[in-house]
Amino acid sequence: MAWNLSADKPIYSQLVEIIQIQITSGKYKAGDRLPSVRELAAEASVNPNTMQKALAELERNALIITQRTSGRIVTEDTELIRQTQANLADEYIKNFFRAMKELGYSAEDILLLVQKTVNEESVSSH
Amino acid sequence: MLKKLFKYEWKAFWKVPTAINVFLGIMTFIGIISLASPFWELDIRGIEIMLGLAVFFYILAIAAGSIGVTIAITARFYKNIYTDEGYLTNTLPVTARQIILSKLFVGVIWSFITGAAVSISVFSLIYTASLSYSDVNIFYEFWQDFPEFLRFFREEAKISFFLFAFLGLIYLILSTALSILKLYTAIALGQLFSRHKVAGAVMWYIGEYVVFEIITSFLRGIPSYSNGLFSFFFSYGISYYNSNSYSVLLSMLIAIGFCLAVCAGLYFLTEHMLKNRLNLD
Amino acid sequence: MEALAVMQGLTKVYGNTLAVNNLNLTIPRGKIIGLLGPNGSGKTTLIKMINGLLTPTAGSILINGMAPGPETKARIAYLPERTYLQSGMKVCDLVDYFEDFYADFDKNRAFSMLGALNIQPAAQLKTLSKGTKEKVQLILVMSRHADLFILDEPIAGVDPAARDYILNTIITNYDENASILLSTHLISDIENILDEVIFIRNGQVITHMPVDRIREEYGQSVDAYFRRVFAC
Repeated sequence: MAWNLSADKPIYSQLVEIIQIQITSGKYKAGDRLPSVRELAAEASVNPNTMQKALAELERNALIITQRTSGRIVTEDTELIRQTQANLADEYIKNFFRAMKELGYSAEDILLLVQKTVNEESVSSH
Repeated sequence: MLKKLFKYEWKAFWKVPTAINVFLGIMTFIGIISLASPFWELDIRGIEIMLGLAVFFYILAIAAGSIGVTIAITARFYKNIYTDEGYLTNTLPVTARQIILSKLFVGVIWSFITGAAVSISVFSLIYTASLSYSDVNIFYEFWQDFPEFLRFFREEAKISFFLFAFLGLIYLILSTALSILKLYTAIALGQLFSRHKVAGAVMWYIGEYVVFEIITSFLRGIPSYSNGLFSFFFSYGISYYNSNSYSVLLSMLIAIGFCLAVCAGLYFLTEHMLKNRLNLD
Repeated sequence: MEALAVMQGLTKVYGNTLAVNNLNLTIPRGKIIGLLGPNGSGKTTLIKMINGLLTPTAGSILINGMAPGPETKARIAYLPERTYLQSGMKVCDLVDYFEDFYADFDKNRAFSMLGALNIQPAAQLKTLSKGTKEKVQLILVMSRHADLFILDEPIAGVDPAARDYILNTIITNYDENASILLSTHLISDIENILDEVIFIRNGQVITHMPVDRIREEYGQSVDAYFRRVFAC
């Protein structure tokens, strides 16, 4: 399956985000070897040059390390992975709050709604 | 690359002319069987008409076969270069020269095979007819008189019969190539029209025909009577033999040289069109 | 490294129509490039001139520094928008044909792709459907190790599964120094695999830029941007 990409944002920045999620969610664990650019590009159905650009960006952030012998691996710095996870979470929450405020809810209302959803989920999962 | 093109050209083309030649062979076989049993001695009413019809249809079949091969050669050139197939033919890493020559070689070979088949067919029918009708074995007689014929030919024509036959063969090959190149050139020039390119090719062919007739008539000095280069060649031989001012040998060499020059001219025109003026629809 | 192909002042006139009008274009190496434009904009005319099937009225085309000829044809793998197969052949005859003429042809790759799309090598071409014939042509073209692949409407006639396979093949097969020029009007299908797009209208290049720059600058997909630029 091709990765789910939205139409109005640059492709490479979306690829960066998807790979970050794959790492923080544990699809690729700390120290794991990543597939080649070509394999990843084929999996995502994107241009290999764009995938290359996304991986280069992740390397700049040190989340991915290129080793001369074994290709690209995920960093073993678990603190960095947690930090990435926290950054993503931060960004999602901010986006969520922005959207809810556009709908007309106050911060307190949003918190109550979130609490309600959490309660419902814990009931349905039992 | 020329060898590979030739190989695929042969593979793609052999079926139609082979079918035509097999058809000619079957016609000849039927003719021989009928002639070997002299049915005209039977007392059937209207036998003359039937015989006449049989000869008529035989001639028609031979003519249709020869024309069929020529049409197949022309159609192959057009289809493989100037229609959808041309998208592959013209993007192969080969030169225009290699494309034209590979097709020309195959075309000449098949024209020649068909010409030979027609000649053998006619000869074997005449041979069978003469054998069963008059008990004269013309082949045997000819063979008996062959040394005498050779001596006579040499004395009268001042040229060895074998040299004559050899030059005649070269002339025949060249004139076959010429007739095919006339068609190729007409098709290539037809591409100059932006629409109705096939009709354009027909117009060019008619134009070529007229020009050739005028030139050959002019060369022979007999404007009213002309049958193309072949008669040009023979009339030179005969008229100059009679007047004794030219030898048969010289007139043959002139005819070959002329034919070669025209072939070269038509070839370069076709090559130029394919190399520098190609415009596929 | 020099550019793969350079066109300067390229012009093609048909009768009274100006199909390509003083067009300047440089095709870099190692890129997948979309050639996009409405019908009649001059895409196919341009492609045919690069392949030497049409003679330009004016201007020049250089591929690897050479004008179109046998040397450039040996380095360009071209998929036209029509079927050029001779009906008397079998699929495997065609594989041999390509093997014989193109030094960069990879027979094993061709057979493995035929297998993946369930096309029998012994099948007679005339028994195949139009879509299957298109796939055979595409397989033959993509089995070459050419410098420049020119694909004219490669996905218009095939089913979605085959389309995905074709796009996947393009992504995995092409090597870093080769470029692919892909002409299509189905932009959204291929947008993610493109590096750059060339918009062409009335025989002239009106935009030539990277896909991600269009998305960054205009906040739109190439498809949406295309619709805006060519809005009637």
